[in-house]
Amino acid sequence: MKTTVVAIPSTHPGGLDSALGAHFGHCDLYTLVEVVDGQVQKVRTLPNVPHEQGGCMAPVNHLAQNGVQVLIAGGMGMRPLMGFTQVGIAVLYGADSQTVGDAVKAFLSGTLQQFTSEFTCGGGGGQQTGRM
Amino acid sequence: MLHLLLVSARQETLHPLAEGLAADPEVRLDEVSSGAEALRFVSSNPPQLAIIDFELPDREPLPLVRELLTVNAMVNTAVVSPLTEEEFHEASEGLGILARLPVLPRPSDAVELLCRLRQILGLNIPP
Repeated sequence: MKTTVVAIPSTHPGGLDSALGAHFGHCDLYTLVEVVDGQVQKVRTLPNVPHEQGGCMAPVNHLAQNGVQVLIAGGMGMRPLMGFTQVGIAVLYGADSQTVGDAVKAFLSGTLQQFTSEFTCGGGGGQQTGRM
Repeated sequence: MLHLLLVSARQETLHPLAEGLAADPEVRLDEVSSGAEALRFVSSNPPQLAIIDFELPDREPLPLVRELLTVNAMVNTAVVSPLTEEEFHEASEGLGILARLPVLPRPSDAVELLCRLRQILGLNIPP
């Protein structure tokens, strides 16, 4: 039995019906979905952590400390993307999903792409999707 | 103890900054003079902050920040830059740079930089 904890940046109040948070580091909160053998087993929320300019490793460490293994995000900078990779959290590109539930469905169906540096905002990235 | 790395080939010009940093009793300051040396240093002995000068012999500062991120994204960076604050923000977006420093940084810039570093590290600021 394989359990995967997936984090999705969300708007308040979180949960599968909430809208996706546009910028992972500045979202209202995270929805955490536990997936067991390809099925959603549990949905809960995790508060975000406040951070200042240059402190964008705070949410990376926060999610790692809460056992997250996969993050679905629509916008992110180069530094947190590298940080997630280095702490062992896979990042998937979910900007096309309207709700957290849509993102989870896309994850379960295996249609989400890996979030590569081409998707990062600024700093050599191509798509201006976020500013974290 | 805060471990800092100063990456600069302008030791004399940046002396006031280095002096200001080293004046803090909780700071250990190492110095290298090229981007290649900085990458090796961060790989083997990551500091909490790397301060990168704008006139390095082998690299531009922002590409060096990107390279450093691929080595260790947990290392905070500050960059000496002639760009305005707005230009710098635009050019460095997403790189998570802690601060832009002026081309001729003063000891007071060191104090402010250490204050910001301590803030994001959640450390108490000494009286």
